[in-house]
Amino acid sequence: MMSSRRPAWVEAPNPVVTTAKGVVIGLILLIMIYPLAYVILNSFASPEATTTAGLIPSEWSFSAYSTIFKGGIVQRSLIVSILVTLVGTALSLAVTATLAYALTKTRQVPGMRLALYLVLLTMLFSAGIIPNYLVVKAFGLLDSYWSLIIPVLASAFNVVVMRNFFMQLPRELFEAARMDGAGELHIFIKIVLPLSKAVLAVIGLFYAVSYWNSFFNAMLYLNDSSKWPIQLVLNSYVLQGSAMSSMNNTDMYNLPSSQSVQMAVVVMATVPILIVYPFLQKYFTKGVLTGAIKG
Amino acid sequence: MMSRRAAFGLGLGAVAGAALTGCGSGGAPSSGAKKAAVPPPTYVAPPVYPGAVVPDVLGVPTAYPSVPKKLAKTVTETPGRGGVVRHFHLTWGPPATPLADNPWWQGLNERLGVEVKVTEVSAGNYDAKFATMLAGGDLPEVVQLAGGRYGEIFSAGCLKAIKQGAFADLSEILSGDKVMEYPNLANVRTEQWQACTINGGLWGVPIDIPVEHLEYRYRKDWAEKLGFPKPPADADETAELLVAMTKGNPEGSKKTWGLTAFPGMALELAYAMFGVPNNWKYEGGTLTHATETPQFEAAIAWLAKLWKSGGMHPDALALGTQTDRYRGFVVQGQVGMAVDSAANFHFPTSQYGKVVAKLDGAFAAFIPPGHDGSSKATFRKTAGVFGINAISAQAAKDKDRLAELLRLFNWRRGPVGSEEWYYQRWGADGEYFTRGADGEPVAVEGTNLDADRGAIAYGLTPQTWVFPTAKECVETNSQMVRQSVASPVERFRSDTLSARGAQLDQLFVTYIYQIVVGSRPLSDIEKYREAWRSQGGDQIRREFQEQLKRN
Repeated sequence: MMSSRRPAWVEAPNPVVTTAKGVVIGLILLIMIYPLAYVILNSFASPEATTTAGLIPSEWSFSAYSTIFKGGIVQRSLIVSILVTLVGTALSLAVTATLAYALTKTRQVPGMRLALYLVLLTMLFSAGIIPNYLVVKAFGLLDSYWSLIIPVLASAFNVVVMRNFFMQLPRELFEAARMDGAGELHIFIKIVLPLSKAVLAVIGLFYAVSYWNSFFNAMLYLNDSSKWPIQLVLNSYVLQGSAMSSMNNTDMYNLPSSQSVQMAVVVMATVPILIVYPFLQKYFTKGVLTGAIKG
Repeated sequence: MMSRRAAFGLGLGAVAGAALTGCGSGGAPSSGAKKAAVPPPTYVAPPVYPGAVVPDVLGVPTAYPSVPKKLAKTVTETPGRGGVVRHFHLTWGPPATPLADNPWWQGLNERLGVEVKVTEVSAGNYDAKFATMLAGGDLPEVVQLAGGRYGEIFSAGCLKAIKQGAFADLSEILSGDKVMEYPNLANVRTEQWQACTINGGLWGVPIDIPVEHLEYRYRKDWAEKLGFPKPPADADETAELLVAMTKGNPEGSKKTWGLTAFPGMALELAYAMFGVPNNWKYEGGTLTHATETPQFEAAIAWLAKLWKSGGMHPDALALGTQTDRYRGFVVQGQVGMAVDSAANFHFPTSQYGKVVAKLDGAFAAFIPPGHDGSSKATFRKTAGVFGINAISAQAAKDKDRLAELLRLFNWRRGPVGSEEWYYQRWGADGEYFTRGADGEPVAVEGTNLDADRGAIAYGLTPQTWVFPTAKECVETNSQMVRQSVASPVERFRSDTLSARGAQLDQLFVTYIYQIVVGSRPLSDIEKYREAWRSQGGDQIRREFQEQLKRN
């Protein structure tokens, strides 16, 4: 029973308050779930019976999904997004973890404090779209998948969070390892990383979401539309589709995408990254709190 | 970026949309002294084939009830010399199928004699992409120049690029009869070329649109059921019909509305009925903005009354910017009146075309009446140019390369009824469509030409009106063009408008939207006008007037 688990010093809950809390939480839940349910359910609406109001489509159909998969564009862009996310996240974690660990050595290594300030500086100032474009171009990365990864390889915020986490690890462990003859790399790989699973999972999730949602850089740096990630395709389906009618003055766009097709693309662009969350949930609170607040 | 029509749709055409269809010679930024004028390219009317519905009004496309049986070959030699030609293309949909899996694109390359590489950019991302490519010196050889937010043919970014010398001036190479070297380009009308001209420089080949591309439709069957056997004769009757369509349950239990979107259709209709000037009225050397006229006030008063009577969808304000949602109402048969591009109603395969066919005449075209029943509605005419296909100055340095690019343009501008046009519209015979015994293209099952063409086919082909209802479409459109007026400032531009347009748009939303939905009294129109004048309107007026007086 609930009451038996309640500590002696805690008052019995007021049923009215409990009910009110339940109602409020229920409402919040509804507000959160409704748009998602709307999108998912309407992706199964028949294109001819575009749902303009209400949650439940008047006519059910898989045609939106068959439309988007028939073209091959969505599959290709999904593969691009998955690969960029996997490779990008792995590389970003590697760079962030090594940089963060190095930045914990501000007292031991000369110049490391300056390096830390340089990292922090990027949080205050950003270069702007055109300078970034010129740098990407100068490195020959235009129209390359690497242009979606290398310019955003390390985020200063994530480096700081991870550094703070590393700073909390017991020094004694490192001392003991050193006495046993372990070098810095050995300590980092064998001691620091295994103890930092929580923060690695959280930062990894941050990076993964950021790579998955990458849209603007892809739009700027990729000229070949066959290389577009899913978010750019989604943008072209959902946001641009509506502009068509206003200029639909040629016969070029006889069949503008219906609302159900747009919803289906939204589902395809959302579900894969959503699936990752439950697996990392257990690390989430611990990782963020330890890294960000305790530091 | 926003189309001119979208700007209208938001009501912004009247707010700040002074330069409705372009900027021409007048106040455009100049990279130097104004050039000596050369004659514009000679105009040669496109060939007409048996069955054509030829309009007697300039700017209305020649239409065909079916594809001409015998196609003419207008280009005999392969125009390209091999190699790659990069295009920067606007798109309003998903990207085209990649070249390797795209027979249409492969066939196009083969016919052009070059490999066309396309950078597709969504209309909404155009400015950022264009600016970065320009800054990086990466402009492709062919660039579709997008229009500005307020209906200008050249956006501020494109104008700046022209000023910086990023594009080739084609005025000499295409002047007068020289255009005959590229005969299909001679089908472009003189006023369309003029719209692409700044300070004597011709900056590209226009993207062709009808001078009035809209068509109005209403549910005739509902109207008859509700006691309106004829199309409404004046503004009051139009309002009565719209309210009846909302409250009279013409579809039984299915909820219906007269109008579903404001500004969109509602503002367009009110402006037409009350004869609101096309952005500006020029009289006695003075410009009066559309929103300063009594016609505008009457139109807004009518809309406010209509709103109060319940003739519009309660979410009309939100639906005004959600094109796909309000189109959904039309598709589902829940809206009584709609306005969209004429082609969208007439192409049998289009979203609206299917609705029109399904309703079998019940979704009828009509021309809105004048507000008092005796005058005629006034529509807004454009120069018939949506944007421009420009050639980069870098590419044009090599005269042979420039000539090659113009030959490619010539091929792609193949007139309706030509083999070149047919390929771009329906692909090679048997690949996506097979020509039936009557010459009509019949789709090959399992193919999707629209997905393969994407936006690649867009930009150079002429306006194509080929549908069984060609005659009706031309008649309605011709009548609308006869009743339309051009903006007096369509060839000019205002820097203040470019700079303060967004601020003036917001004023329109703050005042006029609120007046329509009853949150402000009608008398607040005067407050709006004062704010509009002080926040840039008067300055815009001065800038346009100076240009009008100079030209």
